[in-house]
Amino acid sequence: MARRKQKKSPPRRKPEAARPSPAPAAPAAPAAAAVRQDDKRLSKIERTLERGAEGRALQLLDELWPAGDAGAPPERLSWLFARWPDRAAVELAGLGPERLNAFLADTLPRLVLRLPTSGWAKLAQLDSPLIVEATAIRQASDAIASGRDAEGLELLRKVGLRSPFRDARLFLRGLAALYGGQDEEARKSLGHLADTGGYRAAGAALVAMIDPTAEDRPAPDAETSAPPRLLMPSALRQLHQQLARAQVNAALRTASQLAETDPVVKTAVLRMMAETMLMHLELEEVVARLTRAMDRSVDKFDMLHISALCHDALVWSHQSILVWRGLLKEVRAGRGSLGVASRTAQAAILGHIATIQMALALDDDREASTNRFSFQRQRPSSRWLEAVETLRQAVELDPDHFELWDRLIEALKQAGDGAERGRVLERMTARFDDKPVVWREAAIAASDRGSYHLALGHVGRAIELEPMGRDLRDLESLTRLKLARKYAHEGKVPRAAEAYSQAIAVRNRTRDASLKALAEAATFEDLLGHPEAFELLRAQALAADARPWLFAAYAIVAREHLAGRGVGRKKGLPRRAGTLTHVTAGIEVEPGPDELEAIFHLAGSYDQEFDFVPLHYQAFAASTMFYPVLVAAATAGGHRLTTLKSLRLAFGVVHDSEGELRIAEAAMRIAPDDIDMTSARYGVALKLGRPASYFDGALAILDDAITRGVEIARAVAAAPRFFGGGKPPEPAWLTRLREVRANVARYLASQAPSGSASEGKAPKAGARKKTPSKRRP
Amino acid sequence: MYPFFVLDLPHDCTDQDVEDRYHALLLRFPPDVAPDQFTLIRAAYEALRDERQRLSTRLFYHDDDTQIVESLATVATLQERPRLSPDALAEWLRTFDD
Repeated sequence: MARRKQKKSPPRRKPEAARPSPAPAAPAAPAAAAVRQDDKRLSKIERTLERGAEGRALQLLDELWPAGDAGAPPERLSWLFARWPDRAAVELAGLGPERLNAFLADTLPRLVLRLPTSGWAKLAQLDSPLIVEATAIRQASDAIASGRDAEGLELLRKVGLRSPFRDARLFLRGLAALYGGQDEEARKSLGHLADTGGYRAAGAALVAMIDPTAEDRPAPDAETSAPPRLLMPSALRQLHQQLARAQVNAALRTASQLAETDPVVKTAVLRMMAETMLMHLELEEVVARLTRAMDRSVDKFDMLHISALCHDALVWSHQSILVWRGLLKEVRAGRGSLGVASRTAQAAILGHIATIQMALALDDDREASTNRFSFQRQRPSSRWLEAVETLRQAVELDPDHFELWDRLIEALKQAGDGAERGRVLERMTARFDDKPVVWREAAIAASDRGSYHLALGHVGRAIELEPMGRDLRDLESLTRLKLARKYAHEGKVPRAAEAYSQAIAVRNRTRDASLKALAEAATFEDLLGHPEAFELLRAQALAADARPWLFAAYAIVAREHLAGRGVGRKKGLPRRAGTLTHVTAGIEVEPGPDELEAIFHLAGSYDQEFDFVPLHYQAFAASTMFYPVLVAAATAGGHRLTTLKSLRLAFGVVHDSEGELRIAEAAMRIAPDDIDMTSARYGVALKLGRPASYFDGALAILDDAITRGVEIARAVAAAPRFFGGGKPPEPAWLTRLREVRANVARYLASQAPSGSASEGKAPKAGARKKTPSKRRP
Repeated sequence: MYPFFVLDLPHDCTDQDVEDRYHALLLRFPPDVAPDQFTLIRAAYEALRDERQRLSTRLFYHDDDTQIVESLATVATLQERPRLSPDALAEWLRTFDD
């Protein structure tokens, strides 16, 4: 990594007042060499003092600044007040009044803000007019340091403009303005400092930091810069402006200076800059520029880390995994101080890699799901197994990290390894026995394996930990239903009845779960030939929850579970012929919107419950049982499905032509202009061979729909497209609409007397259907 | 915005540090008075509540690039200039004498 050239520091200059006077015997050496020599001797004295060898320290001090007959020289006293206040007080007592006042006049304006509290306490005990003003300065400094700016400024008013403490006063005013965020005011006060008193350099350092990227600012010496964090808000505001204007280079300059303040700021700024620069530059250039700008404070680990985060941000998943693995090696090698045990950090990184692998696996599965009608059961992506392996390593490294385990059971679930998932969950119940979610998942896994008693034990433990969890009550209810169903399939009717009564008795569950339990218990009685018990349970359900359509839907599903299709199901219950028409008969009320939503959801989720049904069969097999409910809801008693959305949902579920036609007619009564329903209605009517009179006015309606469809398709084609190019093919729904229109015209022509076809010419027999081109233009 | 930066805490901070800083900032920026600041502060607090979350934040957090510039302006209002104690000020001023 290229090192940035260090700015040359200006030669260190000793301020006049603090510079030791040359000893009489000193050779005429260059001043800088003398200063360095003195510095070394003073450092030695300080170290001697720190060891507690005061006698030796005094001896060394006498060698540097001998105390003559007239007392200690001023520079010796200044140093003593700063470093050794007790000794300073002793030596000050030796001065006469005249020399004391001379010392104070010469030294106090500089010393007043440079003394530590202990040194100032000694000095403040002196009796001198100068001490009064100096005390005001110190009190103002204390007030400003404590955030009492107004009080501090009031105290400073006591110090006149011609006072020897003028510079100390101006400096404090500037400092107060700086603390308060009044940068202009601070710049003004600090800019008026005179070149004496030792405040100007400090003031210049503060002004320079207010505007860290100003071209003409004096280059601050590294040792004499203002504490950088003082100026953080100004720099942040500046960075904000630069980023908002996309001034990448200027922002980088500000950022590199901010990054020198502390590790957190450095990390924050690096990430912020990387993210922002990604909007304007390529990843490689972002990393290279950050490297150049930050090389003084950023090591390889940091840059690798930033690179990994950039890959994440760009969702370059495969490369991202590689970079994170590179970082993992660095952590294993002991580089990068993350402040936690190495194994914990490694586990966290592995967990992150697994998350990316899981996202890739999900993408694979989604892509595969487009081949839904491939007549084969889909296999989960092999990437799930990679994620499982990564997470196994992670939990071994950090077995107390719950989220890693959580991800592991999710990956196992998606990978389809239910048995291993169950074993992992059992381990988790031992390690995380205070987490209800673990017991819940273990219960679900046990239930999926058919271990209903074990599942009930687990869910009971979860309820103990989270008594108000309604989802847990629902799970208990569902598990008891499954147990009852199992007994029913095995022909153990009394035990099934007992389990059903226990399922009904579960409290504090959701309304749906309660209705479901009562509907299944009622259906069980119905299948046993107990209509009175069925009616009793139905009345009980509807008294608590007046949603008869949903009760009917649950009853239909329950019947399917208990006595319907099912590979491997034992013949425990008689299969009664016919549909459960009596569950919908006599329902006079219109289904509520939430009820309809629940029924549609039930119809959609039903496929998943019967996963043993071959995929290509599910779409039809699962839904037929809902036809009576949905068609009746759409048409009986005059449009019980009152919104177009509901009717379209119903149309999607029902695959029976008569039912489809009735739903489409109902939909067109609500929305005569709906293109899908227009196409569907006449298409199905043709299929059913409705008489020609049914199609009166159909051609005009279809022509109108085609005109609107063409406009929509044109608008969609004109919209900006992200992928591909050229003219898009005609949408399938429009092609279908044209086909229906052509078929209706052909049918009407065939039905009409010769020479009076409503459409003029009937299409030629055997004419090829216009089909959409699959080749892109 | 990087949560450690928002709360102005070092990477090796403790749970108690996070709690203290959060409550101090809440007093300065209550949600009904400064909703933008509060949103940032709350999100940062959630991301730093325990040691594992702090590690995760340190390793994997990245900003939503569309919000960085806006967040930066808000964070600038959170950052207070730290005040130097009289002794720290004296120490710093003495660096100009050496």
